Amino acid sequence: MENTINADLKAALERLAVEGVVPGEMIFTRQVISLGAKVAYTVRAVEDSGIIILSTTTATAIQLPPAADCPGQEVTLINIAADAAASCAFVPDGTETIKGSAVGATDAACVQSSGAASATWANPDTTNLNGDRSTIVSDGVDNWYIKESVGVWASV
Amino acid sequence: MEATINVDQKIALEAAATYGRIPGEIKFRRQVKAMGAAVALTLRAIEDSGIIVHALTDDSVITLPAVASCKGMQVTVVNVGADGAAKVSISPGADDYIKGSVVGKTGAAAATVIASGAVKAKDWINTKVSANNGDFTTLVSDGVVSWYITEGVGEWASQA
Repeated sequence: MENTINADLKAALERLAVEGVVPGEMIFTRQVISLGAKVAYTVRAVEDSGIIILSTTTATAIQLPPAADCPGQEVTLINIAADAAASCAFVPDGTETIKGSAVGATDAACVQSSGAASATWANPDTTNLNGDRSTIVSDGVDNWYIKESVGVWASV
Repeated sequence: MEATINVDQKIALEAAATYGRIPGEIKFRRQVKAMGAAVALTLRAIEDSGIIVHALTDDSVITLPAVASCKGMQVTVVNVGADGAAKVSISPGADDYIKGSVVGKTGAAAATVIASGAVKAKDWINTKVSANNGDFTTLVSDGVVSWYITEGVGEWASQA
C-alpha cells in the first residue's frame, strides 16, 4: 500500500530517518520543574531526559530510573533553598551507583562520590548553598556519572 | 510534484505529528552569536534559547529577557577576549535574579567556588583583570524570577 506525499517532505523525512537531521532551525528549552513543598520526584526514563529539577524543601529525594532504561539521559538537580536550609539527593535504582566528583565548598577541593552500590548523592542541609547543583548522565548499564557539580555533595 | 512513501514512513510521520515524537536520534547544533566589536546584545525570549554568545570586546553587556517570559530558556555566554582584556556582563531584567555558583580561579591549588550575590537586577560580571579566554556561564530560566547557573568557569562576580 502506498500513499502520496510532497516530494520535499519525502526528502526531509528520508533524511530524518537516515541521518537524524531535522531540516530548519530548532528552538529548544529545557524542561524545568519546581518541586516547591514536594519532597519527592520520580524521574521518568527517557521522557525526562534533560530535565532540571529545582528543590526547595529539606530531605527531598529524586528517584532515578534504571540506568539501562535511559542511556545518555541527563538529569540536573539544583538546590534553590536558602543557604544551610535544605538537603536534597539523587537516589539510584536498586543497587546502581552514582560516580564522579563535585567541586566542593568555597575554597575547598573536589569531593568524590564513593561510587558504592545504592548510595545516594546528597547535598546536606548543614552546608548547602543556594544554587548548589549536580548534573548526572546514565551510562545505559547500571551507573550514573556526574558530569558537572558544584557544592558540598556526599555519598550517603 | 508528488512522491510516494511506504506504510512504515507514513506511520512514523503520523506519530510525529500526533505525539510530537520523532523516531531516531535528533542531532542539533547550538546557535552561536559572535558579538565582535559590538558591546551590547539583547536576547529574545524563547527564540534565542540555547544560544551561545561569544563576547569579545571590553564592557560587553548581554541583556536577558524577563525570566517569566522564557521558562526553560538556556543561555551560554563565553568571554572570547584575550586574558585580562574584556569585562563581560550578563544583565537580568529589572525583577529578576541570577543565582548559583561557578568554578573560579584557574591554576589555584584548590578549586574556588564563587557564588552569586543573588540580588535582584544585579549583573553577573566576568571581571576584566582576571578574565581568561574561554570563561563562561550557562544560565537556565525557572520561569518565575530567577536565572540559575547550570555551568560556569572563571572569575565572575555579582554587580556591587
